[in-house]
Parts: sequence; C-alpha cells; structure tokens
Amino acid sequence: MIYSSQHTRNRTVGVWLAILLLFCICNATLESSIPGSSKLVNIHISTRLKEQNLKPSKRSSDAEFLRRVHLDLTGRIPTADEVLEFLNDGSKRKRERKIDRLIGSEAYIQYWTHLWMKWLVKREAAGNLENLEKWVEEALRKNMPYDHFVKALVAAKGDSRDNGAANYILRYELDPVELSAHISRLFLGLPMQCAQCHDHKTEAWFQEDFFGVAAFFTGMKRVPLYETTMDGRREVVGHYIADGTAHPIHIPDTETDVAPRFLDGEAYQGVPTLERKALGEWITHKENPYFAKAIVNRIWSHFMGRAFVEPLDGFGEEYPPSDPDLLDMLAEYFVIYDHDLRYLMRIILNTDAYQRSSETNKNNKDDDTYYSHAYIKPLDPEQFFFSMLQATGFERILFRQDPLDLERKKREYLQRFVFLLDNGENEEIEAFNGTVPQALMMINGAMVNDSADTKARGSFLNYILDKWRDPGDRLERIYLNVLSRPPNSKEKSYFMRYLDRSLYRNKDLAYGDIYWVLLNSAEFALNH
Amino acid sequence: MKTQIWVPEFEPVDTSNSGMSRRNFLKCGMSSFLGLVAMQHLQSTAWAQFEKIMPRAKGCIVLFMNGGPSQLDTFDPKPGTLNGGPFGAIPTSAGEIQFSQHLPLVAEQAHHLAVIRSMVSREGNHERARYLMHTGYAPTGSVKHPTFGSLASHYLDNEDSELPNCVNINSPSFTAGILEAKHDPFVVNDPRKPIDDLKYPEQMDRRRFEERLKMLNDLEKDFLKDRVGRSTEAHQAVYKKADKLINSPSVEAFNLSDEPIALREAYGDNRFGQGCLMARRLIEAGVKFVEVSLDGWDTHSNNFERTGNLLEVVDPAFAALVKDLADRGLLDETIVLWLGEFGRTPKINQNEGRDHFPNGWSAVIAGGGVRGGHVIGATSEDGTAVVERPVSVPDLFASLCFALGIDYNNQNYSRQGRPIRVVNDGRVVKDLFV
Repeated sequence: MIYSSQHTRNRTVGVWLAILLLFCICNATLESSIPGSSKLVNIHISTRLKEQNLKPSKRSSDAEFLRRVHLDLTGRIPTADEVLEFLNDGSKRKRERKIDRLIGSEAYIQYWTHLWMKWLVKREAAGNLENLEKWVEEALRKNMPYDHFVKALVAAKGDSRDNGAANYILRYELDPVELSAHISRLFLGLPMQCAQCHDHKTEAWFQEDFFGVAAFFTGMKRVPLYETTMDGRREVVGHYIADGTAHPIHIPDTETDVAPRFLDGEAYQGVPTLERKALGEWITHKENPYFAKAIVNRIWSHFMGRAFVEPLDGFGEEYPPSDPDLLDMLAEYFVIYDHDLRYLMRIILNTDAYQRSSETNKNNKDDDTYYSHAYIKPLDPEQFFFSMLQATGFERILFRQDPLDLERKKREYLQRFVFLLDNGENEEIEAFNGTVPQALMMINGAMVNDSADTKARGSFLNYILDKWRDPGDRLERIYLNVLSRPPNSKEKSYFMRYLDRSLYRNKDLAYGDIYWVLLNSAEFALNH
Repeated sequence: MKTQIWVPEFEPVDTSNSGMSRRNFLKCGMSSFLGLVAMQHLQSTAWAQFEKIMPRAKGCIVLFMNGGPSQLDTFDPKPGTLNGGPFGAIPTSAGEIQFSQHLPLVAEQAHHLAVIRSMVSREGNHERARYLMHTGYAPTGSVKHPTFGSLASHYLDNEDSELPNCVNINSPSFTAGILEAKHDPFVVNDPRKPIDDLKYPEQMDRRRFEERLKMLNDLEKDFLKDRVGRSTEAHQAVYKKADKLINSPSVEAFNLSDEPIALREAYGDNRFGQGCLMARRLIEAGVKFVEVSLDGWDTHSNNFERTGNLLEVVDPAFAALVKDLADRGLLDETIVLWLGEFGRTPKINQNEGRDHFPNGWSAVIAGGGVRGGHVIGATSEDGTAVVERPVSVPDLFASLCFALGIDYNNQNYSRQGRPIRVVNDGRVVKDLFV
C-alpha cells in the first residue's frame, strides 16, 4: 500500500484501490474463497468486452475446466477417476477448491520445474543442470517469493554442488554478455540482446545501457573443484564461483568501455565485489517498472494463451501491451502479495475469463485480444507426453516389458516428444506446433497402436474391456480416459451404430478404433 | 516456365537502346504483352545476357556446418602466412583457385563452384548467427521469421506433392515462423535409418485406417465447428500431409537402399554423407528445399585436428553431391550452398583453436544458374578483414531468391500485422550469375 502512494501518477491506481477496499468489505461478508482480485479482473475485462460489443462465450463445462486446469498446472490431463469425482462433486465452490489443491501439488512442482528449467537454460544439458533443477524444485516447493528467487540466481555464488543456483551462472559460462542478455529478457521482458549490437530503435536503450548491465558480471571467477576417482584420476566435480571487483567492459567495434551501471543510467557506486547483489536488488525492486510486469505477462500468457505483450520479451518494443491497465493492476497485486507466484495463479485461474469455454459464438469468434472466449493453446512436449502416458496407460505396457527399465524408457520417449514437438527456440505460445512426424507417430506409432490394441497385455483398452462389459460403460471409460469427459448422446449413438455395423469377427476391435480416433483428435492434441 | 520475373536490384547494363533498360524490361514481366514488345527493343547481346541469368533453379540444398567452419582451413587457404595454420593448399579444376589440401575431391568439382570469400555479418554468437543464417534476419524478439526452407516451401509450393516441400536432415533448423505450419521443416533424424512410423503398424491396414479416419472426421466436426483458429487449422493440415505421405509411393525418396553401393560409398558411409545422398533423391522427387547439417565445427581448441577430421566427411559428400547432380543433369536446376553460421578467427589461440569470426568468412555455392569456377571477394593477407566485394547474409539470401525465382520484395505478415519482407536490405550478388 505504501508502494502505491509512490505511484500517484498512475491514473488507474486510485480507482482500483477504491474498488479493492469496497471489495474487501464484500469479501468479508460473502466468505468466498475466490480472491477479490479475480473479481476486479472480471469487472475490468467485462467492461472492455462491452466497449468492444463482444459477447463472451459461456462458462466452460466442469469437464472442460478440469482438463484445462490440470494441463496448465500439472502438465497432464486428469485421470478418469479424477474426472468422475469432480463431475459428481455437487458443491458450489469445487472449482476454487480444485485450483487450491492442484497449486502446490507434487505434479505441479514437477511440471513447473520443467517449465522453469526450460526458461532458465532451455533444454540443453550443458553443465551440471541436475543441481540447478533440484534447486528450482526446492524453490517451487517452498513457494519462494519470486524476487528472492531472481536475486538468488543473479548473485549465485559458492560451490555449485551446494548452491544449485550457481549452475545457472555456469550454464552461461560466466559470460557477462550472455548473462545480461538472458537476465534482461527473462526477468525484465526486455529484448536487450538487440542493443547488444546496435542502439534500440524505439526505446531509449543504447548499447551503453546494455553493456553497462553486462559489466556487473565482469568480476566473477570460477575455480574448478576436483575429486580423485577410484582409479586415481582427478575429475572436475563442480565449480566454486566467487566475486572479484567488476571492471568496465569493452563494446565491440567501438572505442568505448562502460563501467557497471543500472538500466536507468545510474552508475554503480557500492562496495566492490557486491555488484551482482546490487544488480539483483535493482532488478527486483518494487519500483522497477518491468520486473513484476514481465513475470505477470509470462504467467498470464501460460494460462490465457495470449500475453499482454508478445513476444514475452517484447517490452518497450513498438507494440504497447494489449491491455496496459490490466497488466498494471495484476503487477501491483503481485507486488502487494509479496511476489507470491501461487497467489498470482489463484487470481488468474479464478477469473471468469480463464473459466470461459473455448467454444466461440458468432459475435466473438474473431476475437483474439479481449479474452471473450478461452483461447486454444498447443500442448508443449511435456504436456503432450505426460498426457499420452495418462491416456494410453503406456507406462503399464512399458512396465510389463521391463520394470527395471521403465524410467530410462520414459526419458527416451520424452526426448522423442521434445524432438518432434519442439523447435528449439520455442518458449512462447504459438499455434499448434505439431509436425508431420508427430502426426505419423500418432497415426502409426507403437504408443498409440499398442494402447489401442485389444490384445496387447497391459494396455488400458484391455483393462477397460476386461472390467466393463456394457458397451455404454466401455465407451464412457474410453472417453474419460482420453478426452477427460463422458461422451454426449450423439457420440454414443454414433459409436453404437459403428459397433453394430462393424464387420469384425471380434467386435472388441471396434473399441480399438474409437480409442485410436480419440487419441488422434484435435480435442486431445490441444489445450482448449 | 516461370510466369513472372521480378526485378533483381541489378544496375542496368544496357540503357543504350531506345531508353529501355534491362531493369525496365524485367519489370514488365516475361509473359506479358509489354514484355514481348519490349523484347524487340532490346539488343540481342542484352537479351543473351538476360537469358543467361534467368532464374532456373527449382530446388535448393544447403549443407550447413553447425558451429562455424574455419575459412582459412577450407576455401580461403593462406598457407605459409602467420595465421595460415599447418594446412597446405592444392590446385583445383578451376585454374588458379586453391582450396585446402583436405578438400581434394571438392577441388575436382571447383569448375562448378562459386566461392564467396567475403561473407560478413555482425553476429558472433552461435544462436543469433544461426538464426540470421537461416532466416536472413537478426533475431529481433518481436517476430518469428520463417527459415529459408519454409519460405521456399511457401513460394514454390507444389500442392500436389505428397512429399514435404522442406526437409531438414540430421537436426532441425528453425520453423515456418509466421508462415503456415505446413511449411515447417520435415525433420529426418538419421538418414541411415528408415523414417519412423511411415508404415501402418501390424494392427492396421489401409481399410481399417480409412474407417478410423472417417470416424475421426465425423466425430470431430462438432468440436471444430466453433473453434476455428490457427491451432485447429494447423492440426488438420498436418494430418492431411501425414496421410498423403503414408500412402504415397514417393516416400521411396527417403529410402537409400536402391542406390548402387558404389555411389553410397562415394558419398561416405556416415550421417552427413548419406544425408547428402538423401538430399539428391528428395530434390529429384520434387522436394524444394533440403538442409543437411553437420555438427562439430566449434573448434575453440584443437582446430586443425578436428577440422581435418570433419573435412574427411565433407570432402567426399560435397564432391559426390555436386558430381551426382551434374551427371544427372540436375545441377543446373538445383542450387547447392555450403556454409556455417560464421567463420573462425584467423588468429590461432593458445589452445590451437580458432574462435568465432563473423567479419570475413567463406560460403560456397553451385548450380542453379550460378557461374562455376570463380571466386567472389577476398580477405586481406592475414585474413582479418574483407578487402573486396563484401557480401552480407541478406545479399546471399537475395541471390538465392533470385536463382529460385522468388520475389524477395514479397511480404508476409507477422502476428501483429506487421509486413515482413522475404529479404530485407539485400541485393543480388550479380557476379554469381554472370
């Protein structure tokens, strides 16, 4: 709140504070578990929709919501039983409760570790990234405030085996230019890499600004740490990172050297060797206009399928945010609530906009800016892979083949998914990024076809056909497993006709067909 | 015959006759009536020159040396100089031009090759330079530029072809970016192995597949009806392409086992060599763009041993590809380009290595109407600067476009609605063609 008073120039803040106050009162009386902020977001978005004469889509069905929130938070679709339990839950606040239960769950921690690793180091295996991964996982488990998280990375030092964050610095080989480019992109949303080579076109960034930040990283030293192996060889087992005094950095192709200075142009005047710490403080400072917005934009984009600023590191580029007021508002909540990422997620997930159906109406089908309907998102490789495992029960098949080899096989398959779905530079939501080889895998590959094989031991289909005898029940289980919803009456009668007319001697084969069909559908391949 | 020829940014050569420059002539377009009228005004010499440079390439093969190959140890040798390193230089089939001693087979094909020794760029970081080298643009953050193969696929699209128009062999490059997903590269992980999942599994045959596909289309209608958009469209398009591919006899183009053993061996029994062979088969089958990549060129240490080993792979493969295309009469309509994301420093570092060097490096180009057997540009005696005819990456892209008959002034639109030119700020390197 004190922070807000420093921002009197921001025209929206006063209004929002008034509403917030009003809302705190309402909240206390209504005892809803929906964060008040979500409701303020609702008011804001629906006002904008009215201005644009856009009619929002209806609320998502429970099944649609459940699949989406599972994918977004845990990186996989829900199990059939989870779907049934949720659909049968008659309580009014079940969505809020589901959100609260999934945020912070083990699956959430695993999936968000994947995401953060991708953002921090891409998918490369350089350096000892296991320790960094463990560190990220621990931070997510503790729900470390985001500003602490960033500070710990920017100023990471010490033994890379004890301090996993130090491996972030090692990943970029202590290179001041690489590190400052990555840090400004990821944590500030600024495409500073452009200023690396030339002065920025629209914003007032100059090469000197960029290299001024890079200069903060010029004092680092690393010492390799050795251990002697059994056969007497000395092996590098980690590095020790320490800070010396940072020095000016030379701008290539110029006569200029720049000493450490912050992006606002202020030179670093603190104690030598504490440069990185000071930079971390500066980056995460609540008055830094980019820090909170950059992460809010990223998280919003993950859930909503469309960011305020695209690409995510496009702040200060020629395109203004699509909804600057909403971005400001969410960024302020984020700061007020101590950079709590989980709370930010709760705000977003509880909004009407998040919970709308992806089905469009005549009036809003062309909208891709105002959140009048849920935007369809492609699945990332991890989401796709873990959802496939979930839907096919392929894990059981692998387990039967060789229980001891399960983890290795899973990793191998995940690598294949990454290879098929990933395009190397992909960290933003674009359209469905499936490729022809991916479609081939879905059409002809073992994972789908073994699972849709009525004879394959351990297959999910086999299990379903064993356990349920009634065609209607069987069909329902198949739909629940793959599409996370029961079939509607049209789909039921379609399949019953298919079953009747099928010429298979063994009618069970028709279930293999529908299983295959659902796995190959756009409804399965997309997060909708 | 291409229906329209656009104007490459050449300087007009012949302005003597009735005020009609070649530039203006080209503007009129080959097939137009005006073009025919204008043609009569042209001197026959000008016409002959024009005919010589008329775009004739139908496809393009890029041999991409991932990591940045050393120009001094390949196509711009300077033996005996301070920075020259231990490799000697050998004569080639193109008179006075010399290549590194480790390229004896490519040297025999030098009469087909134009060697650009004056490539310059500003990107000395692998990721950024690779992006530039594939898209013609430095990464800006705000737009995902299409990789060149996707552009070729987009502009030369052969809708009837069952094969993908753009193929990457050994590793993926970049994506179609702002273009449609169907122009994304089709990635072949290892050319020596059969393509994964190209055949129906034992549980499925043609009839069962068709039944399933019909059911899929029937059941999907409701979901798709109210969910139009890039993702759903892309999903449909990709499945359509996959379906066409499975049932196509043209997938034989991916099958190297038909090739005579001697030829397979000539290309080299390794991923890169066999990738080059596959590239030739794909181009023959009508694919528009194939990129074959070879990793390992980031030789910060031990440059000479490593480069020597890599050249043992490159030399037979590159030479066999050019010769094979020429033997089949395909070289004239196929442009072949060899390069990496940048070159390497002339100065040899303390680890016997060479570091990143974007300020003056080499690219080699053959076929597709390119005049073979000559060198464009030059670096200084010590290799540290370009002293003649600098060629930028956009210049190279403009030249490729010209050879393929793609108007590089065409625009595509970014997601924010911003027009993006095929090539920005590039001019055709005229010397390549005439």
